[in-house]
Amino acid sequence: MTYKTYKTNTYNIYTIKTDKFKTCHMEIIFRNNIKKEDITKRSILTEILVENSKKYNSRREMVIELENLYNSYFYGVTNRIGSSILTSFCFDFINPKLVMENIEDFIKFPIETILNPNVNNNEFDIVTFEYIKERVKKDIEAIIEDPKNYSINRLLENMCPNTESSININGYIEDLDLITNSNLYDYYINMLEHDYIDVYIIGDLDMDKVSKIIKDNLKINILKDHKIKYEVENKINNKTKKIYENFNFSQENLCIGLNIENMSLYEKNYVANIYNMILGGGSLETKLYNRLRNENSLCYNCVSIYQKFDNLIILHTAISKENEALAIKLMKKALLDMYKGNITDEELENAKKLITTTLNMSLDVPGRIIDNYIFKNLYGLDELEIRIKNYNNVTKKEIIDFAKKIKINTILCIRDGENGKN
Amino acid sequence: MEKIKIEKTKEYLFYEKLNNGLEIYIVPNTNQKNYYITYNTRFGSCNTVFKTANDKTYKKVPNGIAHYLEHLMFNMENGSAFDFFSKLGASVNAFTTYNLTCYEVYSSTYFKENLNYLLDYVGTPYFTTELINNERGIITEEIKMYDNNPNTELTYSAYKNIFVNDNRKNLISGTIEDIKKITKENILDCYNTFYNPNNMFIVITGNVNPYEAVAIIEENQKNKKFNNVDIINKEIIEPKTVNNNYQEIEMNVNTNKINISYKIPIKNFKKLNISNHILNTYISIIYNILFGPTSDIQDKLISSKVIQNGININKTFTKDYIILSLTTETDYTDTFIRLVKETLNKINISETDLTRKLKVYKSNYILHFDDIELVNNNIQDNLILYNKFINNYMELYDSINIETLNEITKQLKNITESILIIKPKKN
Repeated sequence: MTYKTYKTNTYNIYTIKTDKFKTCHMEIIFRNNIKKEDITKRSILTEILVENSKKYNSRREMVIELENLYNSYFYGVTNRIGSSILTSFCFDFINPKLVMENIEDFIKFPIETILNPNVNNNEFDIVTFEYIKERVKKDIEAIIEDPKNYSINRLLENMCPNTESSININGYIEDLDLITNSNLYDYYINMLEHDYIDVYIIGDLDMDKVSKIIKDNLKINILKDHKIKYEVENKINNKTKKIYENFNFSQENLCIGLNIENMSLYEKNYVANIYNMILGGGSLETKLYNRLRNENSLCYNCVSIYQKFDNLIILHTAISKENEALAIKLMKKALLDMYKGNITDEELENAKKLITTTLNMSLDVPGRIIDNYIFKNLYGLDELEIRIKNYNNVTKKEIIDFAKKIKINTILCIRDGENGKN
Repeated sequence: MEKIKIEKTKEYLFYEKLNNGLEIYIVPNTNQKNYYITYNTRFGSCNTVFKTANDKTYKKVPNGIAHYLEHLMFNMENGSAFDFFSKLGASVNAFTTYNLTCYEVYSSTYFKENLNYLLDYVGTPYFTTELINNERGIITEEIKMYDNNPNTELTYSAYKNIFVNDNRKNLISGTIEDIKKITKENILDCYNTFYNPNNMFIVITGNVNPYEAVAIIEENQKNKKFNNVDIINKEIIEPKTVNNNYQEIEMNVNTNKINISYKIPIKNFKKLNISNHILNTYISIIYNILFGPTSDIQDKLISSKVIQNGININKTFTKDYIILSLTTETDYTDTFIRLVKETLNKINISETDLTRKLKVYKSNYILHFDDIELVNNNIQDNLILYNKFINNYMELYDSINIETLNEITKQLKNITESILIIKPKKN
């Protein structure tokens, strides 16, 4: 794999040339500091920009063109990374060499679509605007269909209501009424002018040629020099909050939110991941999985999720309501095991091996190779080989030291009501 | 070993059948760092009434037993099979479908060790009463978890409505009541019947040397004793009619979810004299043109705000029927139903649409070789649906023509349907 960066005055083009895949993957990324008041607009805008364009002015016309480009796939994703927001417009396409087509037709497609949306008189096409707004509304409301995400959202809203960690990336119903076609267009212009832009592309392509096509078509003139912040500072609770809510799911959903205090960069990048793998983020042999599922048959699944830039770990499981107290006790016991260093050499080694496998798996997927590159460029993450080496050097003592930095903040029980179905 | 060219691609499939009956399918891709192994038995949730050539009568086992057995398989006398794989950093899992139970290993190292242990643990029945009872609690929570999910419900309840006798009408996991009935004897009986080499196959894709892989499997199997039996699954006669042609369910949703399923008898196409995989491809193309993202109906429904997202098209192939399901979310279910019916009553497909869709199918087929899981899963599907590996999809796409397509569309009118709507709960 050959990595090469092409710079323009206003953005960089990061290329990876490899003949591993028949597919090529391109991402145009817009990033900035996250603002809660803008998140719903961002959600609508991400959807509108991939729905149609000036040239292909309906979803149908757009998909016909994508099908003509050998079923290329164009989609937008917005993620929160700590206190920043990152919107990727992704384009998957067949290597044009395989079908004797011109590379320019492919590369120009996502750029033209983003820069020339279906706009008249500084407003998006009204039909598109209205149904996308409705779609976003339904996506926000659909959280009640997903007990796990619903309960994690409720945990974060209770645990850190005033920080970026609790922002719901889909947006907010109450903000929808404030969004007009005209102020959405202003927000689009604002995004073009004020967000940092990066372009990433992977495939068996002539990257000099590709970068020239991108530079000729993606003309961005405004320089940016503001700082993007990633770290979220969440307050530690000295006393654990216990919150009980009700929702008519067919199981009780149980979440425990943990703060991590004063992590060093090394801990953040390495020790925390290994800790999380052993606790509940890894295989089907984690502390949580063993305690709750294997030894006590309480649940089907029990996981821990490490949110690096939020300095948080979230535990989640779904159980029958009569097992609430036992499940909380066992989850705390698993945390105590970590704290006391009741970790076998085997558990530590297995976690390291699983991380190595997971990182190696990422090398077979173009989008994940790009993800690794993005994390290296934006957040200073080490090269994959160095990461694998560093993970393998993490010691038990480092994990125990890290465990001492963890504090339970909130325990949330979403108690089940009637069975979810009538 | 047979080396089979996958027509009009640069790929090959390696095939071997061992003396004990175990079939091995390998598609190497040395561009990839990882390999993916699936060890499969033709035993899914539908196989609940069966006998062997030695039995006089059929045995009936409780629903959900294939899935239950899949859960139990990981137990070994000295602990869990996960322990071994965890030490080698392999990613392992298993899943059960209507016709298949699959045990999978994904990794980039220790190929020999992982492959050997996969064969060993699936080949070792260790079912104690205590383990069986422990697993019941876990599966109960799994069933309850899916019970909360409106999208799962949209599929399962639609099957419950469309099938009269076919076991697809029952949950793959069984219900909580079903799994209470499962005994150690049932489990052992199913294992001894279905987990024999002549009912199993291995598929390996990714970074693998096929000759080495076959040598490892042969060596592993040669000292094992099997009790290959001829399995006779009781034939289910499924009528053209549906169990229930309309149902509404209330769940935790804000917008209605709708599933319109069509039960298309395969015998309607008998005079065309084409094999099932070709018929399946034609029908998939037709429904894609009629209801996919480039269709008139989607354009109309989206611009008139009846739907906000697209229409999902799902296809199930049984012995006698193709089940086609259209699902979407809408506040206007009546309009959606009316427009779907109108579309099916005046099917008109242009050459341009067909040519463009064929480009899509060909492109998808070429690109799927980049994904070792997808290649593996497609081979599984081929073996389960058609009992053979199809190596000429590209030629098949070249042979698709508008005349045959028009003949097939004639048979798509007046087919039995079943409608399921999941509605928001009333307060």
